[in-house]
Amino acid sequence: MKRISTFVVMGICAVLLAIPGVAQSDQPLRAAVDMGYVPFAFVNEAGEEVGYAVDLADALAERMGRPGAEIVSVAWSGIFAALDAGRVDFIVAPTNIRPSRAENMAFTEPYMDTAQLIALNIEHEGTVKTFDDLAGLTIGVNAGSVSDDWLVDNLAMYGYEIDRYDNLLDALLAVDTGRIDGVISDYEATAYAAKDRPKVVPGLTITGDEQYGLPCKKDNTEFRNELERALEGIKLDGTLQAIHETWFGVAPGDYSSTNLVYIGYGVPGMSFFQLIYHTPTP
Amino acid sequence: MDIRGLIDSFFNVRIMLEYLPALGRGLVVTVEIAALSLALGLTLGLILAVVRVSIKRKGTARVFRLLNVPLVFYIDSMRALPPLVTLVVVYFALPYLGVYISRFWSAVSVFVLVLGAFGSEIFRAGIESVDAGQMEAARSQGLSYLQTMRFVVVPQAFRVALPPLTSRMISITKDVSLASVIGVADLLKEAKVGIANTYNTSPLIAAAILFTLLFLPLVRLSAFVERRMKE
Amino acid sequence: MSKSWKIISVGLTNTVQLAVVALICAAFLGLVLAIIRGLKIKVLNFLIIIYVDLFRALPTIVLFMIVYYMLPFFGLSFPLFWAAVVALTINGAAYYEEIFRAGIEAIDTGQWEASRSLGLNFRQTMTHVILPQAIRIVIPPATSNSLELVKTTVLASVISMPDLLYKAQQAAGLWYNPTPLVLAALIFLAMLWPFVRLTSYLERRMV
Repeated sequence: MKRISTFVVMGICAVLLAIPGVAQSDQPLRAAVDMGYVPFAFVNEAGEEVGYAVDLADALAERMGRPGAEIVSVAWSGIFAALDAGRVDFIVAPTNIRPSRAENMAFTEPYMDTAQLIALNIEHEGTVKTFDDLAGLTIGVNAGSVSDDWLVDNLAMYGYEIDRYDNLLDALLAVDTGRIDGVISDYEATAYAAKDRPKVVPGLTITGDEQYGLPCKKDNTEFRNELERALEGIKLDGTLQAIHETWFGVAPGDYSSTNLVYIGYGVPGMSFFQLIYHTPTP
Repeated sequence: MDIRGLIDSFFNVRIMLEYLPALGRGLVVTVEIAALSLALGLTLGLILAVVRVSIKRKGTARVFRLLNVPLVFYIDSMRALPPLVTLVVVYFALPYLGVYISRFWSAVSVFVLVLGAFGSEIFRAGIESVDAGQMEAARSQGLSYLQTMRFVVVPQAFRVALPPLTSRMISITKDVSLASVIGVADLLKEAKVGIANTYNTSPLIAAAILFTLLFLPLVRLSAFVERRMKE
Repeated sequence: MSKSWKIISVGLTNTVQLAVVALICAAFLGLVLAIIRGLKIKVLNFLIIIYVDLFRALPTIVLFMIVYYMLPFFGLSFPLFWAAVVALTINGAAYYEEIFRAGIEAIDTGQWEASRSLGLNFRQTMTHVILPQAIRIVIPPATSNSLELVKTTVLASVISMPDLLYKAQQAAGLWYNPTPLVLAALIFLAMLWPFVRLTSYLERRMV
């Protein structure tokens, strides 16, 4: 009898623990990042989780009237699965807006412009001046990122080799130790990492129309809209610009998406865009 | 319970079929690593077991007995450390000492070392379970020590060793998917790449099915061997 | 090295917590399943056999990912720590069940008959006659399996649970230095080596 009742109690506990948060508005905002993606989300020497994305999540949570933001660390290769599974409300790690992605998740409007950077191991400094010089080199990349797509698209043209990693930190470690010749990722993250590591130097910049948006679960346009109103709010009163300056040292460009508020919800021209006029959350 | 979403995100047949070739390639890599690790690891384990038993004999010089110390250290370490930790250290830490091993061979070496350690203990127990009289009788017939080992003792030791050996071999083969963490393009890594590219978790389920199909017969076989050996 | 200690110690605490909780849950579930098999009800036996075979065949790392990413769709969104516990319990219980079952079956059937003739029912026989005797037989393989389970907790780092390995990787990334990784390996060694020795000793005694 004692054993059965213990089992029942454990069963009840298991079920209770599994019940996801009920009332949304008094729950902390759950945001996914891949921890270690400097300077967006990383652990500093004191063991604290800091970064652009952390500050962004905190600002949005405050604007939405939530008791703070809960930063959930997930490896980049699993971050979309985590969003789908409802483990987080949205992804605050910098996520490039792409049509194929937009079909599977609801993006907010863009909040930052970006480019890509190929950083190299120091032994290649000066020898790689154009993309053709990449021939024969091994380039590491975050699996499933837009840099991954770029590498795949241009493989035939430049003849490098692709090495896929679960997150940027592993790829950087590989370049640092000389296992691979270079790494390609978003401009800010790669430049910041290269700055800190003597053996990694910036190489080739790839400009384009890259922009970051905040992905939310695709059926959850209501939440996405609420998030976007908060995002526009922090754009209009300078909070977002201040965060940008803190982490990148410069103010965002006048016409960059950080300073622009877009009409409607979502990204114009992509799935889940809603042409609904609304006012930002003050 | 969101059934429609569940099927779409995890049992999406179109995506599973699309990635089947890639998963197949990964499966081949998994089997390659497993086969190499098992073959080399068992050999290493057997050799170490024979060495350890041999140096324990009465007539061995002091200096050979000291060999036991590093051997025990190696065996105990490989049995205590989680294989994932060993993998990560070998792949990420060794380069700082100037030692660069490819991912594939880093994985194989780690598994060989682990199986070698466990195998040596299993074989040693098997060898020690063979009656000492066998050795005496064989030696009195004129066989050398090594010949006795090879033709008389070890074959009998195998019978005792086989059950724990098969279960340890299966355990190591399952651990091969840990190599995906250091980026080896095995079955699990291909599944992760598939997930990242399609924003859909179906490749993982396809991989899980393939893994189960691969290992279920082995588990049954191992249970069969264990039962037969008991008789 | 002392700088990374702050980060690593958090991981160590998590690993120990995870190991203790998972061990208890897995052993408990394994024992329950083994006892149920003792009832010798065909349907239940069949189901348990399927469970045991399936979860000894499926690699634990895959199970971790399934529990973390897929179960939420069934309404079971366990927080990270408990997701790891669930995965370890499901996997570990399969092995424990086989161990406990072997122990129970090793007890001579005469014991069952004698208990029956004394008027004891199934539950009383199990509790007072069979299990106490089975425990002695079960201790060596159970210890060995427990060691394996503790080693398997590091797989939680793959779903980003901040265990010892995860934290060591974080520290290594922070200072571009693999020393934290080596430190974590040494900590594992120090923690688990006594259990390796214990397992060897117990296995030797049983022969």
